Amino acid sequence: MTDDQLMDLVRDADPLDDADPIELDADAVLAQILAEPQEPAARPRRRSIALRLGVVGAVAALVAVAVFAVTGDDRGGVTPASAAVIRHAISAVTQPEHTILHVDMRGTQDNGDGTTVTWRDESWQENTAPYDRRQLETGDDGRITESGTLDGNSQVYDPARGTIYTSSPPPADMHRKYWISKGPRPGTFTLRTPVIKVTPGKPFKVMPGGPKETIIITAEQLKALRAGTEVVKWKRQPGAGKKRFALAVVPAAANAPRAPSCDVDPGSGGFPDQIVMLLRNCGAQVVGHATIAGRDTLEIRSRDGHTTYYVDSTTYAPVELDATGTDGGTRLRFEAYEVLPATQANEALLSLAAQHPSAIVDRDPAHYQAAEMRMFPHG
Amino acid sequence: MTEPRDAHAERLEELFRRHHSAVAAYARRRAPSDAADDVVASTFLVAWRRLDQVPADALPWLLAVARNVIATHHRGSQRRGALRVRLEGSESAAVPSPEEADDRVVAALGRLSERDREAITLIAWDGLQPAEAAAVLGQSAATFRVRLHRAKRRLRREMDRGEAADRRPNTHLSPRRSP
Repeated sequence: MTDDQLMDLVRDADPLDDADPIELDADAVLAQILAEPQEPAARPRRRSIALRLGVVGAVAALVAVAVFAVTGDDRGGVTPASAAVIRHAISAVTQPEHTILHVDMRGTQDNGDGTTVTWRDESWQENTAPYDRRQLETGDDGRITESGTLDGNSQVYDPARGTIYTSSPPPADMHRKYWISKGPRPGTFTLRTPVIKVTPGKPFKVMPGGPKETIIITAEQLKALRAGTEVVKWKRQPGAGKKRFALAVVPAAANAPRAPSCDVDPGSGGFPDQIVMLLRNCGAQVVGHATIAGRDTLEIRSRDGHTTYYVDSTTYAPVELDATGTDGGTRLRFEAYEVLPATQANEALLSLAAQHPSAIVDRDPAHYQAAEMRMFPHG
Repeated sequence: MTEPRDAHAERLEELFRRHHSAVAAYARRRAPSDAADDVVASTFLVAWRRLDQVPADALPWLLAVARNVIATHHRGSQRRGALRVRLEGSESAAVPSPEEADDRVVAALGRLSERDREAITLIAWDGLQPAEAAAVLGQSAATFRVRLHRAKRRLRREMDRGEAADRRPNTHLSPRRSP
């Protein structure tokens, strides 16, 4: 499951129905607030959010000045040289289909309180289905944990026991939101979706194969569902007593993709795409050269100044990515960033079993959970 | 120079009109509906009294205030659990319909630590960008990104654990690693 799919599942579990009005007498509340006296002066606060945001603004402003100073472009536009570098940098992280991305990076996080966390991640990631992946994580304490994904199942390798533990696949229907079948009349379809039971104070439960709620939809609605322009939602039924919700097909506006983010999440499988997003859509510009670990790099900075990306000045391959905040930052140094062809030898790099041919493979879900707790004691 | 009260009132009204729905939604997701309105009012009352501290990008600031207001209500409540976040299993008015929730996700979210859950839901439910969510939690964007990444990883694991996790005591669900 990709990060996007995971977050979509969470969005679907939003307890608020987007169509619900916020039942708040706004005028009355506002009038009440305005009737209250204002404090004459704000008390000094320790590192208030406002201060933090103010610092962000100030940093961004300084960066903007620096960009103009380096590029000499007082219009703030992208210089041709900068545009060419950005193009090359995008090309360097654009991965052809049916290839394997090998990344070896060292991360340092400054927590802003005098402490830092360091780690190393080396991973091999297939960029087409089934998106197999193998990863070696080295923590602050030097402990190495090897894990992976094989055909959608999580795996973890316990070297002390010479065992690869594999999670069980979820039931085939677990992620199904609804089932479609022919309707009672021509041009109609029956849509069924699971009915979920709840016990107050306990997690929700749904039993695969359990009861279903059914509605009849039109061919146009089915087409819209498949196109993603409409979605199935439970709608609140005012005054409906115990049965407070009913199925409905509603426009997908509330589920529409949000504005792309310029923040880069190094742990995401879509990391290369995020770099491309940063370069294409976040006002990134070349602001100078820097020498990092003996390599000459070009320094590219986002417009907001929060992210600086260094690429090799010859190959444009990633060298370092720095993200700064008001009280710390994260630095990712790329020791390796290469696209490998999907040869048999390279595909073996994706597989825990291929790397540990003598290991036992244990598919007991309970054993997998126990192994995961042992191997990732800190999460 | 002190701004006239009318100018302050105009600014607050503009803030209120623009953001009260988002603040109300944030509160309703995390508190019973009867308390949610109080949370909104208290949040904007703080904004009114500290108008000079409200940044131009006001929503993260307002949500951070709302978060504190909910926490204060929670601490002060004599009726233990009355203001519990619905994902902690409260039988409050804000508990979502079981029919509308993906049980597996909700159950897994419920087993996360509060800070992991907040990192994920600020993005997924409140629609914030990571930098905005970081501001709500009083963290740097960089710290938040790492936290979000780890929270997602823990959520995946909790979803994998499924039924087995229901039977375990909740004590292991506290954050396992800082930050």
